[in-house]
Amino acid sequence: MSTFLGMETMRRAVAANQAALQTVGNNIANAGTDGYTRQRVNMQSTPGYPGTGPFGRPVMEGRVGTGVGIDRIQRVRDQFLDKQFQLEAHVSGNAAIQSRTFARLEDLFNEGPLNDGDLGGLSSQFNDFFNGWRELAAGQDNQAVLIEQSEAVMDTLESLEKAFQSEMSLLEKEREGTEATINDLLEQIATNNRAIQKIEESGQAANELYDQQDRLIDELAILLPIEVERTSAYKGQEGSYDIKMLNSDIVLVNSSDESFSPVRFSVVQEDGARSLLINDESYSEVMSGKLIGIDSSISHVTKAMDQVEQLKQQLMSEVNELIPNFFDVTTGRVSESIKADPSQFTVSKETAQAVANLSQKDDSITLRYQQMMGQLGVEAQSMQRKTDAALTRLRNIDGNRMSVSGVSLDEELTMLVQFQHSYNAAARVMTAMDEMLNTVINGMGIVGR
Amino acid sequence: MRVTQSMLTANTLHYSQASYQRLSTLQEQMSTQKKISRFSQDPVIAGKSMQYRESIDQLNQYQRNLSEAHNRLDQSDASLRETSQIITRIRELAVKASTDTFGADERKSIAQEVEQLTNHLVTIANTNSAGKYIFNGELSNVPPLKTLNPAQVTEQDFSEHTVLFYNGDTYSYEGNGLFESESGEQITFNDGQLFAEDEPIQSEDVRMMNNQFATSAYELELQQGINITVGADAHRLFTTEFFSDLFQFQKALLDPNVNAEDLDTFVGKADNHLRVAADVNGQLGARMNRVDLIEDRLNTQQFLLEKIKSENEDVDFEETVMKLLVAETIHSAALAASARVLQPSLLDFLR
Repeated sequence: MSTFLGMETMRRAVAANQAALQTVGNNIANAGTDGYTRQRVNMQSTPGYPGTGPFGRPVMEGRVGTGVGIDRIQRVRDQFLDKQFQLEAHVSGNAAIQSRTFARLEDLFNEGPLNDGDLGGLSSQFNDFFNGWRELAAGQDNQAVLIEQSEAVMDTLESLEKAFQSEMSLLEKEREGTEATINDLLEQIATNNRAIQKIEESGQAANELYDQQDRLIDELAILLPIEVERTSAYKGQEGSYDIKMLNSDIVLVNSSDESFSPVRFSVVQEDGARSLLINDESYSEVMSGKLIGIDSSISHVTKAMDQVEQLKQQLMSEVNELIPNFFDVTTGRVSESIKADPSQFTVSKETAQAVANLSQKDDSITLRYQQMMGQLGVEAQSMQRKTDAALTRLRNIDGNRMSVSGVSLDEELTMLVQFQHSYNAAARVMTAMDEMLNTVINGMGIVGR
Repeated sequence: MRVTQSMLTANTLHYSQASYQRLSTLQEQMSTQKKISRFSQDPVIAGKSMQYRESIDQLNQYQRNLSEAHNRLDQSDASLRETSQIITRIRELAVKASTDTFGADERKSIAQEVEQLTNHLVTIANTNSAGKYIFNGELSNVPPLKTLNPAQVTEQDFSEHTVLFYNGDTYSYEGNGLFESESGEQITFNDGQLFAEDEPIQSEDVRMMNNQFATSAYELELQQGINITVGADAHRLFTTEFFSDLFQFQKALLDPNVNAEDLDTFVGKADNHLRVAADVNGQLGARMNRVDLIEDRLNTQQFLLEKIKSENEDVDFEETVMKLLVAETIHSAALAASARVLQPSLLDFLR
């Protein structure tokens, strides 16, 4: 046993505890960093002395420890929770965007009970319109007012259609933006894969890059239903990331592929079933995620637009059947000839009454509009609930993840104290050994002097 | 479970967001006094609310129609009462005139009064309210009666409704300047002059009028699908025969050959017309009653609808105040708890 073995043991102890303190410090520094996974130093006692001697025989009796070494610095993370997060994220991404669209549609229709007396809603315009005819049927000469009311209904219908159109073009733009974001994320993941591979080849673990990849994947999982596979080559390394579409073999990022080329997405409708084309490859497994949610949103707006158009056509054709050419079907307005001189517009009381009675039919415009609003409300409500539920589940999973990977300052401080004491104590042992050596080197052989 | 500072921070944010959302909803309910502001909050409430609003809007329209109905009925009633008074006065005059003690001068002044009263009856028959002739049913844009001065007419003034009173007979216009009575006697109009059997007629011996009282009733929709006649059947009262009698009476008063007994027949005629007037007015009264009943029903319906609409969509004020107080307390407690949980760390004690 070497004279200085103890010194070497304590040097290792001081170094190991210093590294542990450095890691504690790194954790504390990143306590508020988004996506940071806390790190732990895996310490391991080094092999005892002596080792196995010639012919398998120990060279001395007894075997002393030689101190501590750092095995590796590891991320504390549960990949099972990551998978849960990925499974939930696309659901919330899909529902949230549809929810937003429904809320927007509700805002545009402006039909809550709040707008009492407010002329914004289509329903009060319809009521005014039909009451105008009732008034005419009661012998009042209100033609000018009636024509204004008719124009107001048409104005509202037209402005609704315009609002739907701009809403759709906004959604189209958002769709393009989302596709760009997806490709951007995929490219970053591919680039990180290269960097991870380089670090891992040198035998190290790329903790910070893993964190970054996980954060990118969290973002991506909201936009698309994905699943992640990782190929780790060595112990303590997590490996680079393969990204595939969920439940399928469609690969978005291949970790072994050196180059990344952008992915094209488009939604197609075939035989009533929707599928997502990814670089012309059909995917219909889990139709979810924000990208597909935007597509559903567009169809909600299209549907509302079609319904409003139908109401308009019904109104024009029903009124024109009773009063030929009251509405000009090409302009969607009251005919110019009638507008030119309202006082010349005369109809019999019976006809006026017949127009007013259009609101009382079984499939009247007002009833159909009410049903349409009811349906929109139910759809909006159910989508809102879906969103709330998905967000709550996502929050719970994220909570569980934070519970495993998050930095607890109290915990780090406790360990800080612990490693500080270890460090100090190791230094103290070294001092004791120094004193012993002093005794041997400077005090030995001077007896009687 | 291991709990970290970032989890506490995230939870604090989440809970205070949820708390603010509750407060915001309650604030909106308190300020607007409505349970919901958009369909998705409660599609059932919102859907019903739309239907109730439609029904109330429609009821309001019927209420407006109702005031038009009252206007017509009240005016008709007043006019018919006046008509009855005038006929009663004419009857009195007939009774007076049918005594032999009245001389020619007195008869003449009675005749003048009868003429004035007749003119006034024409005015009443043409009662106009806001540009509408209320006694003329669906033809309310044209006056039902028009008196024509024989001295100033041309052939264009005649229509199939034109009648001519002469010598106790009523002649109706047959076209081409020809008037004919029921017994077949003819009067011709030629170049501004009337001829009976080629004999010219003095224009003061003749009365002409255009009588185009509509027999159709004026109806208004006062309830869903229920059309009510709002007016009197004035065409039954202001008949050609009625005006013929008046003219004959006037002529008779001026005729020295007519004796008191002859004049007495006009008392009976006045009685007949008075009966018709009472009958028409009675019918009008019945229609007014019906309209009053409908008004009652509309008012009740409106009250009930407003009530049911309010129950459906308005907030219960006391309940919302209570909820707000509770939410406020919870909110303060949550903030206080967050402040206590977030603040201390081991660092505060490691010194």
